[in-house]
Amino acid sequence: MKEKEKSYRKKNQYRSKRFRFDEYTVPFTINEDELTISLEKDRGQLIYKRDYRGDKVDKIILSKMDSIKVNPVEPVNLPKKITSHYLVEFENSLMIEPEMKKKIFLKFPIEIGIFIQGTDEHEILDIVTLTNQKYTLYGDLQNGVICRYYKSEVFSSLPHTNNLYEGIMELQIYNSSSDWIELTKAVFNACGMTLYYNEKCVSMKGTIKITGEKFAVTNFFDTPLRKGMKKSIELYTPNTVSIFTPKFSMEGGL
Amino acid sequence: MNFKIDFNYVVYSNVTVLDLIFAVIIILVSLLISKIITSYLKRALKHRLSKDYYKLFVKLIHTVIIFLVILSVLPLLGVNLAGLLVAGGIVALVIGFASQSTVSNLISGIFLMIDRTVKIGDSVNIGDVSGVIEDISIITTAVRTYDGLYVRLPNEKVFNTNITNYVINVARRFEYTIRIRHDHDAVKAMEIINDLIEKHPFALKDPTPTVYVDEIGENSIIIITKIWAPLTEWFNVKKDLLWKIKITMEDHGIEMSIPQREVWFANDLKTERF
Repeated sequence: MKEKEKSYRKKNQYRSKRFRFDEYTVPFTINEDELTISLEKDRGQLIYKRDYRGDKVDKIILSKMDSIKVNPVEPVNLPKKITSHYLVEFENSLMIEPEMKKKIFLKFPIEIGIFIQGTDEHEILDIVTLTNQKYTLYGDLQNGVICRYYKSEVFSSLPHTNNLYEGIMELQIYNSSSDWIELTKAVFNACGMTLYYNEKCVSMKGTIKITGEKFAVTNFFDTPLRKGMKKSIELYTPNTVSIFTPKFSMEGGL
Repeated sequence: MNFKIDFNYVVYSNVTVLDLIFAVIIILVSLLISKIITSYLKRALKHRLSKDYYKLFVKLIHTVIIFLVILSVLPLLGVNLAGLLVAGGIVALVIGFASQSTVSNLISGIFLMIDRTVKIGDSVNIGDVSGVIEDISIITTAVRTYDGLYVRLPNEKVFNTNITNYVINVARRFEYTIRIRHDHDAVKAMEIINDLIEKHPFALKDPTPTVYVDEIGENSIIIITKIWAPLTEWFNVKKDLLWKIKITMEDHGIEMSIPQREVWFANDLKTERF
């Protein structure tokens, strides 16, 4: 019996992999920072298991396919989908002179999406995050929106990140108004958010155009930060949720 | 061939060709106006009333417009309305008295639709009835109470009663009154509460939560905690956080107070310790 257990562990050790965003074929186990993801075949059934600090998910997959794809998704899904808006607050507010165009870098939280690879499309199986989640209200009670909240340092060059926890957002700021503007936050609509990833980082590119003392419009660019980065599968697209537009008008203050 | 229309040609009785043309123009313009009004109403009421009722309401408006148009066109076509109006007036009076409350409900229903205080699916309190709006018709409003009962309210009552709509805003605040013992550390207790609020995803960052000592009471130090949560999550956050606060404070040796009184006796009680 002990020998059997030993051989099973040895087998699993061999299968166990370091975490990276990729496609995995059954059987495999990912072990990283208290996060365990595994996919095994048992009597013709695929069994998916995920465990992070006691938060467990067990699912049986009935499919001809035997692989799953792990890639970053828009950080607005956990612990529960209640909004498609994301607010990033800057650790230091920015004073921007009129007609100024400037590129900055911010960090954003990573949510890991696990997708079943179907014959012609992907279906979301599970989402997990290793970061803390927090939500906030942007605007007033009646017309405002609930947003996923994240506080980030402002970087002038590419910061170092760990793919499991944080990604990099390149933000193009343009103050089109004729006044100096103090910018403390930016709000985005996840529809239109496009994530790219490689071994080193997860990225997205956004823009904020300031049109007045209290008004700005944010949007995303569908381009990678570096050449060769892979595009993530999107959960929020303007086509599937037609009532949303990718742009977001910040009318509740900057 | 020279074809000329004589507009003053009398077709029948005193009705001329011009009268007939006027009548046709009035009918066509009225139909156009009715179409514009009804399509506006369709758009406005689509999400506020169930499909059957908004169609019924729009049809009613259309019928009323057509009826008024026919009344205004009939004199042009030589029909004397005086006799008709007298008879109609008497009938209307009788019907009016008989259907006073129905008409009142109908008018209230129309005002409720314009007022936009409630819509289907809203969580509300109307007078002494609390629940979710199931349906709003022209005459009545249906509410499913939280314990699963179906209550039908006349629109007149709904319109004349105080209405509390719990879901009109995107976030909602809740409050805890926490009582701790006088000999326990209130500052530490507030730190624990603030930390738990910070860690809870749906206890909103903004509007900022408030935690403060409200009163040094007779039996306890009273700490008030006010927290905002997204509308869809507020009840879950409310029940989740309170228990976490209790458990965590107890883990840190801070106990909730129970009513107590210190009594001083003037004379020695002469008690013995066993």
